[in-house]
Amino acid sequence: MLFLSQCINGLQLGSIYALVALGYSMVYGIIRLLNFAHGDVIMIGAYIALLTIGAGLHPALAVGITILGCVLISVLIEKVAYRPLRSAPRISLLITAIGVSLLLQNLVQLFFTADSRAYPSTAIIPARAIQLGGLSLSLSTVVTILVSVGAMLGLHLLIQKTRMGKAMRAVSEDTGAAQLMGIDINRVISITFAIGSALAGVGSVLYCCRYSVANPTMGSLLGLKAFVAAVLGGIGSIPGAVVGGFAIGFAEVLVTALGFSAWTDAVVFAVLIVVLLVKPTGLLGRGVAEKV
Amino acid sequence: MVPLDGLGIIPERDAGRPPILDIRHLCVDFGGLRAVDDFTLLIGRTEIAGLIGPNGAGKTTVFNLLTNVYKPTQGRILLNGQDTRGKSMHQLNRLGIARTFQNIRLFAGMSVEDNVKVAMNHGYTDGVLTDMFRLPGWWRTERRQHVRALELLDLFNLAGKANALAGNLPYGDQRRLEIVRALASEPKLLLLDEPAAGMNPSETHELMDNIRMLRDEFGIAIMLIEHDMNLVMGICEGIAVLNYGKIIAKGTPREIQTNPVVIEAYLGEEAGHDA
Repeated sequence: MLFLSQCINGLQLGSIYALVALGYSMVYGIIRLLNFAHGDVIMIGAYIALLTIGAGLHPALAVGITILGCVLISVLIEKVAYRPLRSAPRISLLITAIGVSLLLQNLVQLFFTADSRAYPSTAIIPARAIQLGGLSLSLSTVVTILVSVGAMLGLHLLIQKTRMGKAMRAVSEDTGAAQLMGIDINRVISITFAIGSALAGVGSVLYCCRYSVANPTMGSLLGLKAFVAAVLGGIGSIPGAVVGGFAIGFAEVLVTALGFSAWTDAVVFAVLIVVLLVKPTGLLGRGVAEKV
Repeated sequence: MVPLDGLGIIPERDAGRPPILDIRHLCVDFGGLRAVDDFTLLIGRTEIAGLIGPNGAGKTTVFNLLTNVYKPTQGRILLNGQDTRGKSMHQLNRLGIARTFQNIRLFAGMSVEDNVKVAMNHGYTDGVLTDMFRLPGWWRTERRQHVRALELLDLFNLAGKANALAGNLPYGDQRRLEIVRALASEPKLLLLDEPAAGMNPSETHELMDNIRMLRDEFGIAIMLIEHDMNLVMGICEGIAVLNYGKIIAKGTPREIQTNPVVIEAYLGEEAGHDA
């Protein structure tokens, strides 16, 4: 029973990591950028939720505004910071992403101070227990798992079945060829950022509901862990991001359950090192073919 | 072939209409190297034109200039009467230019049919919501695209492989699929970069028939880079020969074949003198 409840715990954490990792992987797949500002978009989402709930808005509306806010800020970041560097060396883009990350953290510190704030978790998902067999689950756990799995299925359908999804796959396989076949890559890239950050917005709400706290640097560690999840699954691979997210979630819960909770972060980054040493393309990543 | 404005020659039948491609004094520098120098060429509306030259002469660079992969240092390109300067690649495609690649660049992880359909989505006129929720308009477009994709694939005997992954096709089929994908974007000018590379003589022969058929059926102009001289001399009406980035000869296949400068460029100086 303990084992089962820990599994569900891992499923909850893993599904949040998977949602965030998807954003990393999608953006990487399209423009080969490790968007280190992705985690900070989640932090921005947390503050938007704080403000909107604080202003007395209906929780559903607040969640909607949070997701929309994450989408808008991501699309804006892409337009202002990344688009002008489209043809610049990848390293410039990477450094810019780190710069954007620091900018967002410091902007939020400026307006809201560096103090942690209590996140209105129970306003969004009431603290209620659900009995399932002999198992007692919190409502937030159930909601997190269902919402995440739903979002992932939706994303899968979007990418496999819609014309925009096909255009995204085409751009991800060969940007130049896709453009020459009439695909407007600026539009595809904007939509990719929008979808990735909508998932981040959902992830933001679910993550904050789990930990009930928000602070300006919360995005860094969450972002890094999701990044590890994306690399573990094979960066650029959508199913890989999901697999990686769940693997990291389970690993953390396992380490905690074994009584080494102080070691969880260390274990996650040890996983990154092992992946990079043993299988740098990740579990489901494509091998990089040398161009001749 | 008839002369036009003293800049080049186009087929008689196209003489009444402005050329599909009008390139004037095109130059591009890579660092200190002038890769294409003073390139001037006209191509008629329904012409099959050849661009030939030794390896490294700058042929693919010309294609890359035509599709705005590179920006010209000087000169200008009019495609269907419109200046291509400053246009993005997808806008150029919509103006009527499509191409294939020397080293095949299909979307290998997508099906044959999807490769073709992706090139049909000029502008997503249906809108995102129609696309996401498959509203009735989505199905109409889908049916139209499906029928059209199969028609185009059938021209190259690929309709039976519509559901295969593009990356799993044999090499010759991949080359043909690239042509179909380019056609799907409804070009007025089709650029083929070494379409016969790696094909055996009978496949090459079939390809020649196909290229003529494309010109006749679709009424489009085709410009091709090719090393197979049987193909070039067999189907091209006007040929330009490039060497070290410069056009050293322009003319009909017969003129090119007997041009001593061309023979010299291809076979080296001594052979040129002997000829």
